[in-house]
Amino acid sequence: MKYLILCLLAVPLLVNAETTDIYQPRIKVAGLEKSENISRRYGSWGVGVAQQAQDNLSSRTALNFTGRWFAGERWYLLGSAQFAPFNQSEIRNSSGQVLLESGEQANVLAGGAGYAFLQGAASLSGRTSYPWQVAVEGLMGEQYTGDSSGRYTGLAFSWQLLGDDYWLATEWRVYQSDDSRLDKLNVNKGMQWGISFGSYF
Amino acid sequence: MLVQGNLWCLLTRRVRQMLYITTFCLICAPSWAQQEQLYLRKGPGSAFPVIFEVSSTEQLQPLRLQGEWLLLSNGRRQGWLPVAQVPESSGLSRAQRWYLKDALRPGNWQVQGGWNSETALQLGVSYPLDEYRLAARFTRANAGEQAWQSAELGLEQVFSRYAAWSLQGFAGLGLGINEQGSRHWDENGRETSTALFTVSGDVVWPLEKRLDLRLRLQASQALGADQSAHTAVALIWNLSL
Repeated sequence: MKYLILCLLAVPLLVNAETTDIYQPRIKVAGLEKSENISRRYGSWGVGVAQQAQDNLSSRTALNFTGRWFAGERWYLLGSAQFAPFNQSEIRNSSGQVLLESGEQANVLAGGAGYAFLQGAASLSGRTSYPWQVAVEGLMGEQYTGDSSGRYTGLAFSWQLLGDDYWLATEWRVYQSDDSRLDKLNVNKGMQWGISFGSYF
Repeated sequence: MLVQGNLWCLLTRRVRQMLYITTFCLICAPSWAQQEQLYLRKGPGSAFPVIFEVSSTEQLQPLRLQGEWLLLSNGRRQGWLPVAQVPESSGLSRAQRWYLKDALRPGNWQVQGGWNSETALQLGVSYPLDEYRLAARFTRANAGEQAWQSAELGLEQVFSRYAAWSLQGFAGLGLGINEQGSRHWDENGRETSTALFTVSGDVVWPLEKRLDLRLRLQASQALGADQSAHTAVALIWNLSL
């Protein structure tokens, strides 16, 4: 009897607890799982070249960088940085004073808004088509020319071909700088046309 | 009696038939309504052409969100659809729906830019603070030899709304900086700086869900230098991030 009681007391010690009985809560994380991820596109960036035709100066090539933030279906905000040579030879007045030094650089920092007023799809082969849009863009900023600077205003038309991962655009722009030094020399206005290429973010 | 009995049978049979038809229609109507056609477009905008259509019950895979448009795939083709038109039965998970709803909600930060009648550029940023918005503004005019700028910090508040339009006000304090040659903050064109007080009123016209255009009437009073006052009209684009 004594041994039987001892055995009965010892039995629970021999039984191993099953691990499945232990409460192990699954940690849940808010948000999307990898398999259901939806990528989000906020805007686009690009780099391009433009040919500038400046009043009273020879034409030149500019390098520009653009960023666009999609504000809605048709509107976007625009940022632009442009680097270009301004003139080759110096300009003097009648008394020999240098008004424009040789090899000055014209750099522009500008921001603005764009509105896509035409949208469609284009195809060359008939099999694959790409969406495109034509937008009008208004730009304001500053143009730094040599040692002086002035307010920069521009109005542009841009035709944009929108690929899945890349875009291509051609642009035509008229611009003006209110730099009084350039205004006196009548070299503060011009137009440019160019091509840009970029991707999205 | 017999005639009455036949008439009653005929009537009850008609009523029964009507009941069957009505019940059938009530059962079938929702399923017909659910099977609307969805028109998917080539790009994320209502002016892009429709490239294909699918039944609203077809399972669609969401690929990319741009603005309020979602790029969807049915496994064979891809097209854009406004998020608001994506049906419940399209196969999006609850987490995906939550994500889309959250993504479409405009954020707290607002940035703005534009120009005013004093030929100056205006930039600004604002963030909600209780019932107001804390706003910082920067204005700069540069005509080469005559440059000036000002920076202000103040509070914005919506005064009234009329349909989608609204009227907002701003009051703030700041600093005006006059560069050599400019007569904006100093009549003698000296390089100087002054404290200033600015009030403005905006008429707000919503262009898109996150973007609005504002016509701003503003007045600034210099508290130092030559204590000049300036008024201007500005056109401002305001974006909710």
